[in-house]
Amino acid sequence: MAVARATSLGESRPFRRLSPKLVGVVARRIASFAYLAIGITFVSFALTQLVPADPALATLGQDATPAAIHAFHVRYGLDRPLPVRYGLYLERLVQGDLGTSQQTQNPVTHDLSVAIPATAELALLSVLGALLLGMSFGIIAALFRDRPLDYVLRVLSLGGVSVPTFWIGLSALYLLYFKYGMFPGGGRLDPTTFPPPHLTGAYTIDSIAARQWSTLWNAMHHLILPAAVLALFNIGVLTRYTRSAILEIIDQDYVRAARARGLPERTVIIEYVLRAAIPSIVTVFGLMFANVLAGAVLVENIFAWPGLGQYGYRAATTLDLPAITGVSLFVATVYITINLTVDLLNSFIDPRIRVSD
Amino acid sequence: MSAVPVEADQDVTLRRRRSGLAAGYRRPLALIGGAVVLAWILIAVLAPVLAPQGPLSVSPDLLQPPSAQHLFGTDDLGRDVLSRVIYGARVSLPLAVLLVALSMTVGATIGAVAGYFGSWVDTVAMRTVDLVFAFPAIILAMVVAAVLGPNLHNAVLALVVVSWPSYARVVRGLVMSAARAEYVKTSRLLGAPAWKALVRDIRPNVVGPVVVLATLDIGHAVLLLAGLSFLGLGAQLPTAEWGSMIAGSTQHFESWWLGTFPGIAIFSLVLGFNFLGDSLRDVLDRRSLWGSGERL
Amino acid sequence: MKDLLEVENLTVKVPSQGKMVTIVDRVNFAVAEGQVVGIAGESGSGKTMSTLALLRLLPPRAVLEGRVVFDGADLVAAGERALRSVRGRQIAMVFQDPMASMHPMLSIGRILTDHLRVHFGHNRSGARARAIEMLEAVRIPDPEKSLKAYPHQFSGGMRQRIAIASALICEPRLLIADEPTTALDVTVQAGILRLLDSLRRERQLSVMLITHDLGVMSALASVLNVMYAGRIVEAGATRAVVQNPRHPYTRALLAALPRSGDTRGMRAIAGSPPAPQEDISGCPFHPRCEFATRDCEVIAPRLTQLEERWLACPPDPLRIRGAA
Repeated sequence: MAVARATSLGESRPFRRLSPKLVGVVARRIASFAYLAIGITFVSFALTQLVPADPALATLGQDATPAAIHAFHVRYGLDRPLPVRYGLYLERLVQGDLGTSQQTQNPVTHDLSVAIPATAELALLSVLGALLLGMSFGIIAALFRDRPLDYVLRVLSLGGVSVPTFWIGLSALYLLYFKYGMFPGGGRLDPTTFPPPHLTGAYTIDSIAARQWSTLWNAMHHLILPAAVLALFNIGVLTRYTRSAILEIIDQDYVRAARARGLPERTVIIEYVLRAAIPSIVTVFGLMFANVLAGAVLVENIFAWPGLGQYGYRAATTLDLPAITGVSLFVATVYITINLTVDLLNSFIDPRIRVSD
Repeated sequence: MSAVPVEADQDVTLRRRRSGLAAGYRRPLALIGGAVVLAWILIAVLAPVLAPQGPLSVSPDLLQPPSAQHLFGTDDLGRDVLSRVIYGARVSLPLAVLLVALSMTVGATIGAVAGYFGSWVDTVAMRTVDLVFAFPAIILAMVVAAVLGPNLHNAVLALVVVSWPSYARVVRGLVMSAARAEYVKTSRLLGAPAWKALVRDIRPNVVGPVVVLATLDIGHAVLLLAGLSFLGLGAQLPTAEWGSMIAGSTQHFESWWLGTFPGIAIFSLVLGFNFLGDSLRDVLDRRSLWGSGERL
Repeated sequence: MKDLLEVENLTVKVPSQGKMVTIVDRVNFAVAEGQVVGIAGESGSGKTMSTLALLRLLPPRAVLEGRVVFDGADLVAAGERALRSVRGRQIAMVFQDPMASMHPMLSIGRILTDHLRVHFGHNRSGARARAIEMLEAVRIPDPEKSLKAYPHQFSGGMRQRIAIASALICEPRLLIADEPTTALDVTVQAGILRLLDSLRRERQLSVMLITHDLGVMSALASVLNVMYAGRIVEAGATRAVVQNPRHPYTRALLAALPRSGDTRGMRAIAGSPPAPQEDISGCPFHPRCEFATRDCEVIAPRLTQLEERWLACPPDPLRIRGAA
């Protein structure tokens, strides 16, 4: 009867590798990314138009002559109608021109190229640390579910997300720098140390490249405290997130089925449970970056770190329009790119999307 | 299969266990959190009674360390830190609640409309949400606050602009799954107008999870407001607000009491809300916005 | 001949809202070599928990009491190592939902060979060959290609066959099949049952069949245990029990089955099974039993042997035999 013919749709077809589903997903993500990319230019531009004060007056002073004001307007294209200004803005953007910062009088792109590596170093170290610690705590909490260790970790993770970043940063500085002198008080290097020859702008990488070990040590010494403070929130988030992701998986039938086949517990945890948790971890990676970028504003402020956070903060408080636009645009671009990457990665990892059915 | 009473995995939709709420009361975290929050509410309400002095009253005793007269010491204008911390609750707590209430209202309305009516309304709303999400919260808030002018009310406004999308997304999802429920479709078939269906049938299912989210969010809102104030974009001197007090403490680093006590205040208040919200969330749903780490 | 599996007073309790609740209550049964033993009952009767208990696959804080003697050794008392050598190797399980019990990110090859290699130490090609053999035995077309495929690429029926292949690849002596056909289309069910039956005969496999579907039960099982509220209420030869049920619950269960030519209409059993937390005095079925007496509310009946039948109903045969 039905035994030999117990096939249904799909079995007779050869198993293709690149499924139409995957192509569809990728196409949709890229379309969404394109929309966002354009959208953020619009928002960045719109933000600058909301400033009620006349930037000419802000820069030139209250007693500027009308002629000077007019010249300022012409120079920065402020006398043209809105859509034209947006068009000009886009045009310059495509050419890589972000304008000139009213504060520093440098091209914004130059300012950014100096600020970005500083923040990147900090962000990467922080995210890595948070990943390692957060995931470990989360896994431990899940494996020891409802036992004392779980509760301790849970309380700690709640504490981590409740602590005001700026306060813990200042307290850390006070204790570990002011009182006990274990860590430097800010900046990327000691004032007496010269930065390594410029390769990437990241002092750690550059000093390794130039084999300047003392500089490397100095740079790391300065990195640790701000990176740790920045990581605190993410560790809290990640612990909780990992724990719940794993708990969901551990209750699944396929984990029980794996045990029922006599697989050792270690194999079950690593090959079955953690593997199923990978998509969630990849997803939260993007969210962690958002937290870090946001926290960087506060941390860089406290630790006098010359990065994007500081630059953006100064730009915002002085209403330096090109700089504001530049920072917003860059940060948003990084963010949506990371999200795109994360999404695509997840699509590839999950065989249900990657392989046809 | 038999009834194994291990915590069922519930998503943020229609199912809730009534008994779960009762069990929640037994959890120590919820009790501690609730007690702390209650304490702070009382402190805020009873500030004039509790504080030894007014928040703005200066004295000639500048930068005194904690002592019997000034439990938390004095600041650079001789003001009593303890009083300022107590009065700070009057700023942070109500504003945080206001912030969350506004974000929730705006976000929930937009989300509900988007979720219920679908089609182009939904697309427009969700594309807007995506766009706001493309910017890390504090960057956007910072810029908006700076643009509007640095004061507390603009800070709240800026944060509402940044926070409403989260609610919109959640409510949209809830409304969409509720709208698909059979009994709602039936009532529509029977001729009930759209708004009635929304209010009478869908709202009961949506309100619960959203309230949990909002509770969790208040702690978050406190942090955001304090953060903006710390950066100088929120509360302005001489208002007694915890974030700006901590900012002021950077000028006098050796006077550790200037920053420590406001910091502890923020920490305890936020922790209380988080304890409370965490237990609430455990009871109602396992995955939530906050748990996934969006926003700072 | 000694039984392959002897279960004595198996009891499973789980914590629920602060108390320990009994899900499986002093259950006794046995499985002989080559025999198919069935456990029938509604959802919540404890039938799945009983089988999970055999391999100690219970939720973390569950309590297990009693004896499970497999091939002479008590699995309840066994250490982790011994238990792991039994799981998948001597006793294998097939679960109800084949999609849920296979890791969505692992290939069929992995699902088939991971435990094979753990138990026997095969190398990759040896395991692969064995896996292809098994896939052929369960009639999966194109076995070589299938090894590289993923569970979602197969239909429900195919997945269940693969699950069976995975269960039998280590040549266990006992196969526990928990609702093997319930999640499948009716048209596919017969094929799976036929497969199980032929595999059983080919390999002298003992089978424990868990299902609420008495039709499936009659097709495969020679012995039938009927469970209700965590206890076995009736047991005996399947044919005999189905043709002449003695326990009121069994009778009601059979009466509820729709039969062709049945003009009476569906007869559901009024009421619902007790929740595990409820403490029922006397017989757990008495609230829904049409033959209940006052004794039934107070005295908890014990499973006693009546000729070839085991029955947990107060010994007043006249009352029951006399009823229509």
